[in-house]
Amino acid sequence: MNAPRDPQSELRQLVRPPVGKRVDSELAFHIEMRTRELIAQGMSAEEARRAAIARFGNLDDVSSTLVKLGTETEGIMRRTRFISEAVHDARLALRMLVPRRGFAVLAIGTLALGIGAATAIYSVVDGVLLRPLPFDEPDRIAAVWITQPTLAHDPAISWLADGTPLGASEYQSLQRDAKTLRDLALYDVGGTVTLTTVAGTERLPALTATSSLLQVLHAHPALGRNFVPAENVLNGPNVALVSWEAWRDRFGSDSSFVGRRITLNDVPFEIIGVLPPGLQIDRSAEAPAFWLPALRDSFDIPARHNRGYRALARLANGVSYQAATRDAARVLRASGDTLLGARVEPWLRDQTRAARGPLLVLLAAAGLLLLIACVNVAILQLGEASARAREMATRAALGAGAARLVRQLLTESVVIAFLSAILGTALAWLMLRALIAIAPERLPGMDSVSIDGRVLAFALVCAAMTGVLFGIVPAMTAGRAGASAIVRSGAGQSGHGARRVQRSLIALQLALSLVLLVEAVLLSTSLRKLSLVNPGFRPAGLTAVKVTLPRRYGDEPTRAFTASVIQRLSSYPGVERVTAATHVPFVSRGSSSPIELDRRSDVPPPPPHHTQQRYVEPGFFEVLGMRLVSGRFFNADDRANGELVAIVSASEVARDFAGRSPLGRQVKHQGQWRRIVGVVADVKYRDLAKEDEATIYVPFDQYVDASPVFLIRGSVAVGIAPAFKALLHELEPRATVTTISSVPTVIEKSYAAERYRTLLVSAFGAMAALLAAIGLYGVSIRTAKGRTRELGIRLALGGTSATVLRLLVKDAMAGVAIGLVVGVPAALLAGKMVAPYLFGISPDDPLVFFAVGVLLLTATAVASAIPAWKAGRLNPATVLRAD
Amino acid sequence: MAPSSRDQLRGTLELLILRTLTWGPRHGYAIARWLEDSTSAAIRVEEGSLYPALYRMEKRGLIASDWQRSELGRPAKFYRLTPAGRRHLKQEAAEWLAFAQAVTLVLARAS
Repeated sequence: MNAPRDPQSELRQLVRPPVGKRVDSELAFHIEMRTRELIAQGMSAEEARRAAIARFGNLDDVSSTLVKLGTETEGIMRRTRFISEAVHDARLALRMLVPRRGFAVLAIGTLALGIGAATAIYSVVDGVLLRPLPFDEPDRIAAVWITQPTLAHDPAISWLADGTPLGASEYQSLQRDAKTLRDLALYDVGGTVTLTTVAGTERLPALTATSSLLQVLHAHPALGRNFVPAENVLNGPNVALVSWEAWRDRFGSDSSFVGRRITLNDVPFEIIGVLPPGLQIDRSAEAPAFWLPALRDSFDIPARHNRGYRALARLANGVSYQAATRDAARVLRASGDTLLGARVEPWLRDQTRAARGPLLVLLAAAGLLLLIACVNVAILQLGEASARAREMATRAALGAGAARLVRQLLTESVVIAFLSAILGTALAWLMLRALIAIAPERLPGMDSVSIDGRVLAFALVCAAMTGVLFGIVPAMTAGRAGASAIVRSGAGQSGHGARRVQRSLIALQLALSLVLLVEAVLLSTSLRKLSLVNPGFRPAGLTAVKVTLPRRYGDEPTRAFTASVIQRLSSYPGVERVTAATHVPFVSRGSSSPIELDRRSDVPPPPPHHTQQRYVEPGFFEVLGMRLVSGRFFNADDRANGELVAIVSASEVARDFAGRSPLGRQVKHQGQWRRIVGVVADVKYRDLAKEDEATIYVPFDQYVDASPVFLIRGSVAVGIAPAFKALLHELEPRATVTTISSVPTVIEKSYAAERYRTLLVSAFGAMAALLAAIGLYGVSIRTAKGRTRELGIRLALGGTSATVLRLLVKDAMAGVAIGLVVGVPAALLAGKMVAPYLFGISPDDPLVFFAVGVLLLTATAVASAIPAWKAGRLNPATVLRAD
Repeated sequence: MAPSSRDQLRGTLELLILRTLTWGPRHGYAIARWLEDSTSAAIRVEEGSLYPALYRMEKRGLIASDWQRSELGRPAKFYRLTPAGRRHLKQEAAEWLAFAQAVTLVLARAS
C-alpha cells in the first residue's frame, strides 16, 4: 500500500470528513443513481425514490455496519501509513546520509562513544548496585550493625562509629527482645583454617556462622544437615559444613563425605553437611571452603564484649527498615550501653556502601560525556541543516509541510542514534572487558556484570533519548524558519536565528566539558598528591612474609621460632637485614586497644584512649627506615625477662602528652605498666590519605599476640618464596606461609581504586575535550563558509584579512565566554560530589579552574582561527561572483 | 471442511466484486449494476450486503478506495483492486473453478 505523497492528498487528509459523513454520502449517491435509473424507466420522481430505498433494504442497519467497519479500516490505514512513512523516512535518511559521509561518521562516532561509555558504566552500576541478591525476597534480608556515634571524633576508631560488628551479648539481647528481626544470624567471613591431609597442610578461607545463617537466607544444605543452635556454644562440638564447590573439587563429590572426619586447625572435625551450590555470603572474596559454628571460642563469652561478627536478619512481616532500626537501637540501649545505636539496612545496600559513591561519580561522568556528545551532534547537525537549506527549501516548495520536514529531520536523528547504539553497544562490550580487566579490586557482584537485556534496554533508551535530544533543536529551527524564510535567505546561508541557537549550543557544550575536565583535573591532581605522600618509612627494597603458626602454639615456641627464622634468613644472599612484627604497614590489618597514663600533677590525666598497637622485634624501626624523634629504639635487651618498655609515635605524644617529652613516663597497655623509652615519627599504616594515628610499639618478646610477619630488607623480593618455604619446613612444618608481598607494590595497591577512578574520569574528560574541539572546528568551518558572501563584501569594501579573522574569532569567543560563565558554577556543584574522593586539593581550587578555562579558551581560539584565517585570504571578486 | 453456505456466499460475492474491479476503478452503484447484469437471476446480490462486503474487503486490504468526480458531477467513492486483491482473486478463482469442475463432473456422471 503506497502512502500518499503528493501535497494535494496530504491536504485532503487534513480536511477529511468523519467516517459517518462519508458513509452517508456514499449511500446517498447509490440511492440517487438508482432513483435516476428508475425515473428513466418511467417512474415518477417520488415513486422512484421510494422504490430505490425499498430495494436497498434496511438503510440504517447497513449504515451503522459500514461506519463500524470504516472506522476500523481507518485505524489500520493510519497505522500502516505511519509505519510506511517511518520506513520511507528512515530509507530516505540513510540515502541522504551517504553523500554526507563525513558528517555521518563524525556524528555516529561521537554518539557511539557517549553511548558506549554510559552503557559500560551503567552495566557495572546495574550489576553491582541494582541487581537483586540471589536469595528469596532479598530486599527483606537486613544487615544489622551497632553504631557508636560518640566514637566519630576519634580518628583511631572512627570507622566503628557507624558500623561496629556484633558480639555474643548483643546477639543474645537482640535475638530475645528485637521482635522486628527474625532469624538473627552472626557470621564472620575473614577467617582461615588450616586443613591437614596426607598431602600436607593448606590454609583455606573459612566462615564461622550461627545455625540461623542458612535460615535467614532461606537456604538448605544440599546434603546432610545445618548446624543446630546447640552447636553455637562455648566449646561446642567440632562440626563443619563444606561448600559445594570444595566438596566437588577437593573431595570428588563423594556423598559418603558427610559424616567423615577431617583435620582442621590440628583437631578432628566432623563434616555434617554440604552447602548448596553457588552460595555466596561475601561477594567480594573467595567463597570459603568450610563453615564452622560461631560462638565456640573463649573470646565469644558475652562478658568479654568482643564484637567481631557481622549480622543478618529477616525483617518481620510488614516491618519497615526504620522501625527495625529503632527497635534494634532500643534493645541495645536497654541491654546496658546507652550510647549505642543501630544501623539496619537492606543487605545489598550494606554490601555496596563503599562502592556506591565512586560508581555514581563514574556514572555521572559517563552521563555528562553522553550529554556532551549529544550537544556536539546537535551542533554538527545544525551546521548541516544550514548547509542543506537549499534542499529543504526545494522540498518545502514542492509541498512538503513544515511538520513533514521536522519529522524527516527527526527521523534522520533517530537513524543516526540507532546506528550509534549498535556501535555504542559493541564499544560498551569492549570497554566493559577493559573495565573489569584493569579493576584493582573485586567489587561485590562484579563477576556477574555483563551486557544483558537490561543493559541493552538502557542503551536503546539512551539512543532514543539522544536521537530526540540532538535532533529536536535543529528540527525545530528548520520548522520555525519555514520554507519561505529558507528560500529568501538563499542557499548556504544560515539564518541569524540558527546561528544564535548554534552559539548557545556551543556555550552549553563548553560548559559541560568544563565540568568534566575540572573534575578530571581535580582527581588526577589528588592522585598525584597521594602518590607523593611520604609514608614515613622507606618501602623500596622491603619484602613482607606473613606466616601462620598453629593455634595455641604458645609464647615461648613463638619467640624461639621467630628468633631462629630471623637468624637463619639474615645469612641468605641478597638479604641485608630481617625483622619481624605482628603489624606491618600496608601488609597486615591494624589493631587497637585503650591505654592509660600515669598521673602527674602538672597535667590532668587524659581518659583512656584507643591507641594503635604494634608488637615489634628489635631492628623493626631500622629495617623500615623509620625516624627516631627522641630516646632510643628497641634493642637486644628488651626481651621477655627484661624491663617492660614501650615506644610511642609522635602523634601519640601530641595527643596525650600535650607535646611534652614522654620519655620515662609510664603507660598502661593490656593491663601492664610500661616505661616509655623512645618516640618515633609517624608512619602511614593502611591508607596514604589517612591522618596519622596515635600508636604504641611494644617489644614482640614481651607480648606475644599473634603470628609474626617477617620483614626483609634486601634485593630478594618475592623470589625468596621457595627458600622461605624450605626454611619453614625445616624449622616448623606446621607453620604455613600466608602471603609474600613486595611492600612498594602493596602501597601502590592501597590507592589502586583511586587510580582506577581517576583514569576513567580523566579518559572521559579527554574524550569530552576532543569532542568539544571537533565540534568547534566543524562549526567554525561552517560559519566561515556560511558567511562567505558577507565576508567577501567586507573584504571588497576594504576590510583586511585581519578584520575578518577578528570578526570570526570574536564570534566564537562570545560563545566560550557564556560557556565559562555557566560552566564554572556547574563545576563547583559537581565538585561537591567528588569532594569525598579528593586528597590534598580543594574541589574549588582556583588554579584548576583557571587552567581548564585557559585550555578551553585556547582550543576555541585555535579551532575558530584556522578557518577564519583561510576566509581572510579569499578573493572578494570570486566570492561575489559565485552566488 | 465445507464452508457454511453463508461464508460460501460471502466468498462468492467477494470473488465477483474483485472480478468487476479488474476492468478498472468503479463506485458501489456501478458494481451493483454490473452484478445485476452479468449474473442474471441465478445469484441475486442484495444491495444491503454489497456495501458491507466492500468495506470488509477494504479493511483486509483487497481493495482500496478514493473519492473521484462521478458522472453526477459530485465526488463518489471509487473502489480499485490492490495488488493483494489481484493475487487473492487469481488464487480463489482457480480454486473455485477446480471445485465447480469437480462437482459438475460428479453431478454429470450421476444423471
